[in-house]
Amino acid sequence: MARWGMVIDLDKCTACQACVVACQAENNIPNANPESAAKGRNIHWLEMIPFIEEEYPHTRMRLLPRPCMHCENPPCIEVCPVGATQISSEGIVGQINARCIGCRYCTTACPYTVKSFNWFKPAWPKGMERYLNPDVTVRYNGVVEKCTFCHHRLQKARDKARF
Amino acid sequence: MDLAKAFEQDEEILLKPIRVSHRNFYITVALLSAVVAWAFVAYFHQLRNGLGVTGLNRPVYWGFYITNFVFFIGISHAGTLISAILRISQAEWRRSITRSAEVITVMVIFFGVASILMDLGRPDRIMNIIKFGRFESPLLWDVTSITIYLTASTVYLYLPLIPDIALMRDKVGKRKWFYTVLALGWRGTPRQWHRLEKVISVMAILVIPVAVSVHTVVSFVFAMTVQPMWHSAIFGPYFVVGAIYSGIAALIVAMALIRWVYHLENYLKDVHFQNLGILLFVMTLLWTYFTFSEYLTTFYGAEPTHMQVFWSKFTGEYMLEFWGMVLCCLVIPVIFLSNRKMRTMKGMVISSLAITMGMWLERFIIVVPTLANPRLPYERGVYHPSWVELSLLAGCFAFFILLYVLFTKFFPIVSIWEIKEGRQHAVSEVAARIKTYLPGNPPTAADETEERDAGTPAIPKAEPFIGSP
Repeated sequence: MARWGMVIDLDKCTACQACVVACQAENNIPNANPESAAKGRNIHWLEMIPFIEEEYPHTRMRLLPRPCMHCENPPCIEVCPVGATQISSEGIVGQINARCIGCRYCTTACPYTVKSFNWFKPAWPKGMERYLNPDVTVRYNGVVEKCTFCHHRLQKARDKARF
Repeated sequence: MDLAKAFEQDEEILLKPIRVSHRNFYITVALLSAVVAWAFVAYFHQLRNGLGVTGLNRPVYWGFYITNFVFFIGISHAGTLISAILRISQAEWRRSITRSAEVITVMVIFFGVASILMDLGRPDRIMNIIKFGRFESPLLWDVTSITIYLTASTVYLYLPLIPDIALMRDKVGKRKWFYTVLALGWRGTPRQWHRLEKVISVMAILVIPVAVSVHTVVSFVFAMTVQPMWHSAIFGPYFVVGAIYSGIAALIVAMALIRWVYHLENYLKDVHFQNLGILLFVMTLLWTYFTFSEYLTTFYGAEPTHMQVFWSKFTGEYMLEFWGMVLCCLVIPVIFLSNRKMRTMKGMVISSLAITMGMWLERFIIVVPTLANPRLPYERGVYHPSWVELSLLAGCFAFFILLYVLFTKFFPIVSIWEIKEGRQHAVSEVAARIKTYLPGNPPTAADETEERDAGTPAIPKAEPFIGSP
C-alpha cells in the first residue's frame, strides 16, 4: 500500500513559521503563551527548531521545521498499554484521544519527542472558540495528542475524488 | 515444664502490643493521619486541575511519581524474597524476622501501584488496561507481574499468620469475631499443620521467581525504549539488585523501630541485625559493581547522546543527586558495615536510612536526567517538583508507616508459633542435620527417618501449639 509522506525543502525555508501557525489554527491547538513556554508546557504538533551548526567563528544558525515523522516502525505504538496510538494502512500514526489513559509512556519512548500532553484543560482567549475548526476534535485534560498528518483533510479530499 | 513457661512468656510479650496501646501510639497515628489527609488534599487538587499542577513538562514527562513507583516496588523486595530465601535455606535465625519483612512487601506494593495511578492523566480510564490491554507494551507486563506479586505475597503473609490468628482468637479476647473469621477454623490438628507447612513451602518457592520478575519488568519499562542510558541490557538485574538492597535497608530500619518501641530486644536480637548487616554489605558491593559496570560502559562507548546524560549526572544539573546517591549507597554503608567495630546497631540504622534515601535518589537519577536530555540534541528540559508531588511523596511514606503501625496492633509482628516451633524442634533438627554433613557412619534406618523429618522444615508431630500444654 502507498504511504503518505511530506517533503520540506530546507534550502527554501526562511523560518517564517507560517506553517507552524497554520498547523495550530487548523488543528485547534491551544495558543502558546510565555508562561507555559517557560514551563515547557506548550503544545506544538509542528515546531520550528533552531540549532547551531559548525564551530565558532564559522557558526551557522539552522532552523528545522519538525512535524511527527510518522515512523515506519513507531516506538510510541509498541509501548502503548491500551492501543491508543496506532498506525493506519497508509502509514499515518494517529492517537485515539478517547482511549488514552495519559500514562505518557509514548511521549517518553518517542525518539523525536514530538508527542504532547494536555497538562490542563485547553483554553483559548475569549472569542477565539468561535474560530475553532469543526473538522478536528478539541482534546481534553490528561491525554496525549500528536500530529495527525491533517488526516481530516485527506478524508475530505478522498470524498471529493469519489464524486 | 520449662518449655511451657517459655511459651507463656512468648505469648505475653509478643501479644502485648495488641492488648495494650499507649498514648504515644495514638499520637503517632494522629500525626501520620494528618500527613495522609494533606496528601489527599493535594491529590484532589491534581485530579481537579490536571497534571499541570506538578512540575512535569516536555520533555520531562515522568518525575517524582515514576521514581516513587520504582522505589516502592523496590522496597517490596525486602519481605517476601528475603523471607522465602531464608525459609527455603532453613536459616534458623529467620524465625523472628520473617513476619515484619513480609508485611513490608504487602503494604508497600500498594504505594507502588498508587504512584502509577497518581501519574496517570486519566485515572478514570484505568479499566482500559483490561479492556484494550496490549501485551506488546512493557506496562502490561508490569500490571501482570505486580498483580501476581501482590496476590502471592498477600497469601504468603496470610498463611503463616493463621496459627497466630487462632491463638489471638483464643487468648486475646478483643475483636473475637474478626480473628474467628480470619483463623478459618484453625484448630492446630496435625493434619492442619502438615497442610500449612506444605503450602507455605510451595509458596516460598513460588514467590521467588515472581519477585525477581517484578523488578525486572519494572526496569524493562525503561530499557525497552531507545532513550540514552535507559536502553541497557543490564537494567533487569541492576534493578533487582537495587531492589533487594533498598529492601533489606528498609527492613533493618523497620525492625530497629519495632524493637525499640515494643521492647523486643529478646526476640529481634543483635545477631539478627548482624546477619542482616552482613547481607546488606554484600548487597552494597553488588550494587556498586552493577553501577560501576553501567556507567563505565556508557563512558567508554562515549556516544554523544549518552554522554549528554552522563555528564548531566556527573558534573551537570543532577550532580547533587548523583553524588548524594554515591555518598548514601556506597560511602556511608562501606564505612559502617565493612568492619565489626562500626557495625553496631546505630551504625546499621544510620547506613540503612542512608541507603533508603540513596536508593530513592538512584531511581530519580535513572528516570529524570535521561528525559531531560533526550536523543535529539536541541530539546533540553528542567524539572522541579511542585508542592503537590512533594506532598504526595510525604503522604505515601506516612500512609505506609501508618498501615505498618496499625498492623502491629492487630497481628503479632513476630511470628509466635514459629518462635515456639524453634524452641521445641529446631535445636534437635539442626543437630541432626549437621550430623548428616559430617563424615562418618552411613545413617541407619532410624536415623534416616529422623533426617527426612529434619529436611522438611518442622512438621510438629509431638504436640500442637495452640491451646498448648
